[in-house]
Amino acid sequence: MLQRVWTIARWTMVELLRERVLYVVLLFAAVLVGGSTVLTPLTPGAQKKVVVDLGLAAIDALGILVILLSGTSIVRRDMDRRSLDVLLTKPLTRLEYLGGKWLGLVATLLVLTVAMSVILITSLEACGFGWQARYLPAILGSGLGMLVMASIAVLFSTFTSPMLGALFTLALFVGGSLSEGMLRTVGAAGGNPLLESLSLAIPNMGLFNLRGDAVHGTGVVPGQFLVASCYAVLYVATALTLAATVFRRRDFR
Amino acid sequence: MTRHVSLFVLPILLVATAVAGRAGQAQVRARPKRAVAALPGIPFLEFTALGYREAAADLAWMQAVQYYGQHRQGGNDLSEFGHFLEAVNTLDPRYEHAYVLGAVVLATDGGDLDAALEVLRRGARANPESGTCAFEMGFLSYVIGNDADKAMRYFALAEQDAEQQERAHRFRAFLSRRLGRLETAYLLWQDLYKSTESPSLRIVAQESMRRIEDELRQRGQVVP
Repeated sequence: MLQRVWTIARWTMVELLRERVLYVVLLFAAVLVGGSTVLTPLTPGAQKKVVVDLGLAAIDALGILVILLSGTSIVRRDMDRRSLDVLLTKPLTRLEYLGGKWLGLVATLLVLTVAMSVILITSLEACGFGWQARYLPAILGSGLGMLVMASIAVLFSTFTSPMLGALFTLALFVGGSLSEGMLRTVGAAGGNPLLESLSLAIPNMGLFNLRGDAVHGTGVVPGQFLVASCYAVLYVATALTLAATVFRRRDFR
Repeated sequence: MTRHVSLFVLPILLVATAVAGRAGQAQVRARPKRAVAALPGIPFLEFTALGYREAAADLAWMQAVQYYGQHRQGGNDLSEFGHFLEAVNTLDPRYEHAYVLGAVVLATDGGDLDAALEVLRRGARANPESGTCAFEMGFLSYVIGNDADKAMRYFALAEQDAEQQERAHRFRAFLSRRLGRLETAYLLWQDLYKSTESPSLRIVAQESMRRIEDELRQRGQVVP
């Protein structure tokens, strides 16, 4: 089983890299260098914070951008090229296929994140600000968020067009990022059970946002990271299982 | 034929676009100068920042700095500065630099020490482990408010943070002497002399202790 999943993952990764997804790294470098050059003179005394904030936010945002642009068409591409028909005649379950697709997307994101992190480290060192190990949890947190968003993109790619899939994925990302603040606002006004139930279905992206703690050096509580990891694993498992269920119902004849 | 036409038309279009762009730039520059684009409401900012609150706070802080720069050039009366500052503080409550610099602007250019102290109080509440805001409250209370007693209390508070300990201690020693509490001042300088690792500060402490000793002797008091 693992062999089959790995084969699909490798194939997906090669496919995504051929789509020149790695150009995102160049975009990151441009954002970081351009942003640092333009913005730091405007923030005397807080230049380092600006570069780190910008770098960590860009790693996260560009990862999400890749998921929206490539992840949401990951299954549709195989359908359009009819390669899915051939694949499904092989001894390969639909869950294995989707798991492989997700893993391929995640592997591509891993390559991108590592490359962007190396650029961030290099630019921090080059500017004389110095890289600090405390920034690492923020990147790992972003990585966990990307795992979750990738699984959502794969889920939508099984039953919608890439355009709609990207829109739905973006909506869940925005909703997930806002859910904590919204709940706080609603909670202050007496609470709303419907909204609270809905917030459990959308990914809690705030859980993966460890950038504030990393930048201000307050440190990430290990328990927080553990909870975020467990949540990510459970969310990914649920989303992929749901995707497989939807995908199984589809008729490709 | 079509290729020749496009070779002829393309440069004309490029030049025309550049000219139009230039005219547009001139028009924008000719507009009366307004304050730096005002920030939207804070709850709106919180929502639109999504998870990127720290980066959004940096951008808001840059707007605040530009707004202040415009004030220095006579472009505004600084009335919106508090709003800019509140936006930054709400988006990133642990951004201490913004509290400190913002408070200094409010106290000096804005002439509103109470507002400045309120900003720093907000900063101290958001960063309870840090003495930076408490130190700044002491500094502004003394320099702007001329209230040495109040400043002493804030410096004592700031001393609880190891990072602020030395300079807060030094200010306390300096103010004690100003307030005529020579014995306290002497003991504080002595304490600093023993604890500091800075050779220059040790010289300052030694010199201050010598002066206080002279003053005490002139008053007929005993050196502690």
